[in-house]
Amino acid sequence: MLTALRHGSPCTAVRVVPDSPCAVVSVAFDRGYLDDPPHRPGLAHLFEHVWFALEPRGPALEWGETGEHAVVLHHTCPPDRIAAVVDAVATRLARLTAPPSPEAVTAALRLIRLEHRGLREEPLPGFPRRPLAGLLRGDPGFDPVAVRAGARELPALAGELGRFVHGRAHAVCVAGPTPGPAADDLARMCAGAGVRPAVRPPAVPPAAGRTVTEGGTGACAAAWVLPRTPQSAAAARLVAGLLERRPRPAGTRWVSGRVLSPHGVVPVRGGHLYAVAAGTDGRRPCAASLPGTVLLPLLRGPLDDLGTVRSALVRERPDVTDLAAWDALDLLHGTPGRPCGPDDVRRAVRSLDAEALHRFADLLAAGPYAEIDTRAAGHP
Amino acid sequence: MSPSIAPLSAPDGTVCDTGRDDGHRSLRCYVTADAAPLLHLRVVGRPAAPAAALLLHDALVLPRLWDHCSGLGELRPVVDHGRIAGVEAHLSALDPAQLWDDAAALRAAVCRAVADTVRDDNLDQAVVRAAATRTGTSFGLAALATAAARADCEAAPAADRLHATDLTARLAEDARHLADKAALHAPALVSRLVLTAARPATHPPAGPPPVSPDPRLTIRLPRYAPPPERLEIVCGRAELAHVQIRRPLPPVGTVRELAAVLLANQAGFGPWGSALDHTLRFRHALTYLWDCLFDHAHGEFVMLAAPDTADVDRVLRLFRAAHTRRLPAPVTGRTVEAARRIVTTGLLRRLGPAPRALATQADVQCSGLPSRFVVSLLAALRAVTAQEAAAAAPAVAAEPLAVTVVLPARTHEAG
Repeated sequence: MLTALRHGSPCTAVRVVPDSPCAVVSVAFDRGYLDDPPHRPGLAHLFEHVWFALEPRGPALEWGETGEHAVVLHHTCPPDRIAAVVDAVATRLARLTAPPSPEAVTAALRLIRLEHRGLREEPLPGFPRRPLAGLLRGDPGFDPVAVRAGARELPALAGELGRFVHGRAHAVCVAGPTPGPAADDLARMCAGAGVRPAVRPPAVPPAAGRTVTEGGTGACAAAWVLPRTPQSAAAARLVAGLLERRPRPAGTRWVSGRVLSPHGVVPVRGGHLYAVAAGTDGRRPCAASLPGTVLLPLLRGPLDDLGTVRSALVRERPDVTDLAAWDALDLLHGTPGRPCGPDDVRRAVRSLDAEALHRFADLLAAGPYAEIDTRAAGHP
Repeated sequence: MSPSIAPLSAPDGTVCDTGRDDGHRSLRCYVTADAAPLLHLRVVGRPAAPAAALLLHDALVLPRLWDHCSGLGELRPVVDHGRIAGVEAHLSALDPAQLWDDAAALRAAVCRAVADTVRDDNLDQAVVRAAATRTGTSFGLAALATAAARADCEAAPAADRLHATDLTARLAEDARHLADKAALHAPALVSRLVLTAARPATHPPAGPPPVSPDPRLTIRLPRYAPPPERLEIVCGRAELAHVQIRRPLPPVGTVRELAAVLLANQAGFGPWGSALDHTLRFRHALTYLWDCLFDHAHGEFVMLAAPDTADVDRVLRLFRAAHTRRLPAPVTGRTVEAARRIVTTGLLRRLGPAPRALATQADVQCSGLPSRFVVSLLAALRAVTAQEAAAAAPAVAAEPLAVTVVLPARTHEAG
């Protein structure tokens, strides 16, 4: 059961998930790494870290993620402690408009540098996200995680963080096994920071491009921006399941496909950012051949295992944290009257048949796509 | 008097309505809100087996388990930290009595298949893959190295600095030697078959009526031989150092005593809100990771950090200072309430959705803890007082520490 207040400041939603053992308060800000100013890449990620340094410290078990167009902050707690956590979140929201202390910014910068080095150690299984981010930014060297700032820039950086939420919408969503505060009460409790902008920036149409980057391991990816409908998000999820079940093509360590915006809720460049990637030995580029040799033959061939994949997807029960985050993102980026929330995508998964996947193949074949090849270190 | 607890009909994977165990097979059924029954199957080896047995478990025992489960329903691997830990079967119906009978035949079949194994290239390659998976992250590498060092400690003092490649090669070689005598080792490798099932709430109960959670539930946690005080592994792949600080739990006899110990540890040293967490992560920004795991299989806490190599000793000094109370970390009513929120949330997060709840209950079952352990621990975490938690703190801090550090090879060689 979901109740939402779409036009408040903040926008709020309360979802009851009867079988969820814990509750969550998710806060999402309408500003992600693709919105970082040119002189300050990594600002959104820095904001995510600074949030957790704000008082009160550690009100819940909490963590954050910085996406293409949003920073999402999760706070989970036992269901009977939700009021205390909402109160703590409201206190932090009220403190956001003042610049954080230089000490807090310095500590956050240090932690980000450590995190960046830690992530370099384990780049293996995932998608080539950094090259994709670079492609979306139009800057192959763009790094959504790293922040470059010298000691003398700290006051300016603190000022930018103090203005981070200014003019930006934010959403606060609660989900748990029992009804928490009502959506309008939640809006009143968390009022104070951020103003919803009158008009969102226009969507930028996708452009095909090709990029080759150096990496610790070889990988290639083909990426599309698809129409933002529940059907295309559902088709992409089904294809991911089909890819998992099929034998890996020769010369690949893994093959995977996904919509990079969570459940298709967040539009990237106006649509679903969909990518298929493969782990390779990194000796030769392969992105250009991924659609023709892996993806389209799969979609146009026999789809006998579609029912099994669909059943597995339908059986999946999203975590309550994901549900609250998707609700928050849907409030920020959804289009009223054109539903594409998590529940809509789940419904579409149930109804898509082989014919729909053939149409999905035609869509991929006709659309421009970007190619990304990541060379393994040591290979020219 | 204990505060109220969740109703017994709560379909959250905490209420067990069937529990049977004969030493070789163990079956528990938990009530969940999922519409279809689900089954987790795991194989447990004998305790205190050599670390190489872990590789053989992954390379040989689990594939045989998979082979013999194919008739149960649609199968999927149970993945834990990137490693396959068991088999998940989606059943069309759940008959506990039948499952209990089938478990005996299944365990015997897996045991026989392991005993009949003739070592060949395929098995050797599977062992190499298992070793690569187990050591694919600094966390896994440190855990495997600690397991190996703990076993070595029982025989003779172990080397206190190892190279990851040497360690992996040695364990793989040991695993191959075990495989050469598979018939001899099979009973130890397939000591217990653990079946953990999710029964839909709408499904009629098959066993005796469920019993209520009990904060006074008696438990016995294992106490293993301690690993070396300090063990270092040099790894070419690592970028940052990875620190694991192990500390046994002080002796506890009930879940309520355990809850007091968990709260005392969280209030003093835990992630999200303890004074030490604030010092390490926000004041000195020495590590972006600070976590504390409760490993009930070994009866110990494992604290995790990921600092720069140059800061490892500083992190350890701060941790030891907190231990000996040179750093202010008082266990007060306020800190206990924050600790209660964090520890309870951590446990609750492991109970949903249903496959995660089953994985949690399977871990508990594999450790030999009672079927009411999780639900009773939740009740105990609500019931235990701040005074009890504060009283448990000295015993927590009195336990000896063992440190395992993964060091990046480049820094190590340069230094």
